[in-house]
Amino acid sequence: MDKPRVAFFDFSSCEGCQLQIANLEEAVVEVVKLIDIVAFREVMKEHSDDYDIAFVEGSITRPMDVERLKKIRENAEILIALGACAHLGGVQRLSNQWTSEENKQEVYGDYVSDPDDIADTNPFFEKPRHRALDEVVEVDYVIPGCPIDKGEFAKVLIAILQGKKPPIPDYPVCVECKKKENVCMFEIGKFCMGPLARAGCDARCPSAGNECEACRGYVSHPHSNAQSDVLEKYGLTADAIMQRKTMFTYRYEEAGKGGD
Amino acid sequence: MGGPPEIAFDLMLTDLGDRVAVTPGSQAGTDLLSKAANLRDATPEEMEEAQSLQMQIAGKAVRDLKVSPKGWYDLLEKNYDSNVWAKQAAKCLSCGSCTLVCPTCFCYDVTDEVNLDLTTGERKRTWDGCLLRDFTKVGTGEIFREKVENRYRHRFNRKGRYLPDNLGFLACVGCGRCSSQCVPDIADPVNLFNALADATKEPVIESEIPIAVKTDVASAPEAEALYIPRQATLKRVEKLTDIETLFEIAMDDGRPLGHQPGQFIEVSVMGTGEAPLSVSSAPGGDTFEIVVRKVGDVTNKLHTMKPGDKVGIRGPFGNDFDAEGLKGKNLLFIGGGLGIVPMRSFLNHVLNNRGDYGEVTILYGCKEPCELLFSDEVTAWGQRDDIRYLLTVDACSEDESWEGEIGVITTIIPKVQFDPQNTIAIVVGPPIMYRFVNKDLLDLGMPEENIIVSLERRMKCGVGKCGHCQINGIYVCKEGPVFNYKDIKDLPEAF
Repeated sequence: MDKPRVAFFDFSSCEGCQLQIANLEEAVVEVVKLIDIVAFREVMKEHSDDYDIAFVEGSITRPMDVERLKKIRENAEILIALGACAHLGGVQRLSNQWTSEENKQEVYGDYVSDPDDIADTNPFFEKPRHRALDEVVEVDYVIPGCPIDKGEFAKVLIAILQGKKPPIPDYPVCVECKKKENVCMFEIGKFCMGPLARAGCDARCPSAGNECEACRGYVSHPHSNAQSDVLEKYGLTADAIMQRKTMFTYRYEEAGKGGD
Repeated sequence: MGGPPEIAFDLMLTDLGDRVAVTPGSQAGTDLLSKAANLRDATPEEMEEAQSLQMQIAGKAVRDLKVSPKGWYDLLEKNYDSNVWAKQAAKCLSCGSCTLVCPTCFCYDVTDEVNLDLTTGERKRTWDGCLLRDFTKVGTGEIFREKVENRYRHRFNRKGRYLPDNLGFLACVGCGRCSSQCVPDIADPVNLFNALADATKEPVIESEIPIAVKTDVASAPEAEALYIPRQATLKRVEKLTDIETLFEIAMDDGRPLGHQPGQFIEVSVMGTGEAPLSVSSAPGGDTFEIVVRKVGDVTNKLHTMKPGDKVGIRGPFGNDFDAEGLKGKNLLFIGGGLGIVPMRSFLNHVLNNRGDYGEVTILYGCKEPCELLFSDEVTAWGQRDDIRYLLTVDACSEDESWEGEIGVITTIIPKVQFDPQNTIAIVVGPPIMYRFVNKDLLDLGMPEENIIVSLERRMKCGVGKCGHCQINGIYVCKEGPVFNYKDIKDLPEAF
């Protein structure tokens, strides 16, 4: 592939993952030597629909999103899910446990400034259900995390340009914590998803003294029953376990099973 | 473990608050102490204080081991199939922490990391651990210790049996790091060995440590030969099937590879990685051949390469089919799928030196006709009257032509005449094949020692260090990949 044309897109998300890429700093110089960026709303005005690789951030929410994503899939040779929203459905996926009516009521209450704006005819409010990209179209690779790690973005890009499988680890965060000689979160009385969560973030949260929330999803074969036992042993209630397990990972609970 | 005060040390430091008491425990410690500044003799009161503190701490450290470390080897051997493993492993998070903090765990992985300029990079060695699921995963996808309980069992057996067999000492120093880091609290060796002791009815046999070792660590080759690839050039690239390609390779330094039939090499594609591959050509000559199936990064990359492109080669590694020792014997080659690739190095050696061997029979099977490798050579077999051969495919679709047999490889064994008592079978194929073929050969009356197999495992380093290729206590890369069936039939992880 000679200097591939690359486009960035976003759906329901905070666009923070694209911001990580915009923040690559000096590495940006190297990156633009390797690829032609033809669409990136966050950093440029130009836009082209002629691209080889699409990085897509955000969860797919409404029928209009589905159509747009399908077009991106048609245009792109390689489609990469960027970040937890695209990979798992994001924290917004938690809203799937209520009806869209209930969600609307919870957010907007009875307040109506202009009745047309939130009428059922407005396509922005049409059946909002959050889904990950791969539940709608075929996804070639995933860069997990909330937000993504910009170093990992570079690694994935290099791998794709070399024709290699991107090196996303399939072992838990514990491995990276041990390599960094972090004190185990359980040892200091915190509840950590690290033993189930996919590594690759260099154990960023535990290294800063915060428990892992599994924003990168689970490893492919998580031993989640064992993890629940552990959390119980440390005095966490079933409710608290569920909350902990669904912050970023409601996708697995929704499907009634663990794993990708 | 087992407690003080008969522990070995060079110097023991005891924290007395504003002072440190230093107790020498060996000549080395005394010598070191004599070189240190700011020392004075302790007062009798300080010595008493230090001793009392040592006893206090030692008192805390005493754990009740029901079987002393001298009995662990036997305890582990007796309890290999115990339900203790599954019971404990049900709580295991498979997080690898116990292996990562263990001072005697040294397994590692190696990856190539390329910089953004796409031309420079590093080959990096990183920790790996046998508790992690993909530890044993090979290019074709098989995972040899897929169940958590098998990985959990492997770790303890490695500490108590496999490393002692290889290095001569128990690989648990009693530091307690694994137990302190294991969140579900199943890594503690004391608890595990006590649970095994409770499950053991027969008396446990104690053995002396150090035990006799089979590996001579001191005779290991020089580090450079082990880890630094030699540059080589692809001379010929021949596509054999949609997914398999043959590469003829010459070493750039002019020194021939010097392999024996059945050995393997580590092939590096710089920036992509390194993969173990069997040498497929007979020994001798200035070049050698490998046949590569597209299954992963390195093999995919190789498939894009052309004559003149450079690769790195380490090896040859492992043992071989013992072409010398088998002279004069009747040989029955049984190859399944890609198994023909390593087998061909010996087969072609035998065909090149036909007079040195007795009867030669070849049974070669693959899934479907389009997967048949070396069809020219197979055609040449047909022109020889000094060998017999049969080909089979598992299935043949209507649009393919096929003149051989149809059915799995075991269906053609009864179709050839050979004297099981006086024939050596060379069996190479996918993991599943061995169980069936070996059983059929034994049922025909072939002695166990007449069956020779070549096994595939993840031979990442090739030199018995990284740990990925272990079958129980055996490093396939060093003691294999060629094995006599009799020697490994009792290894639970072999077949």
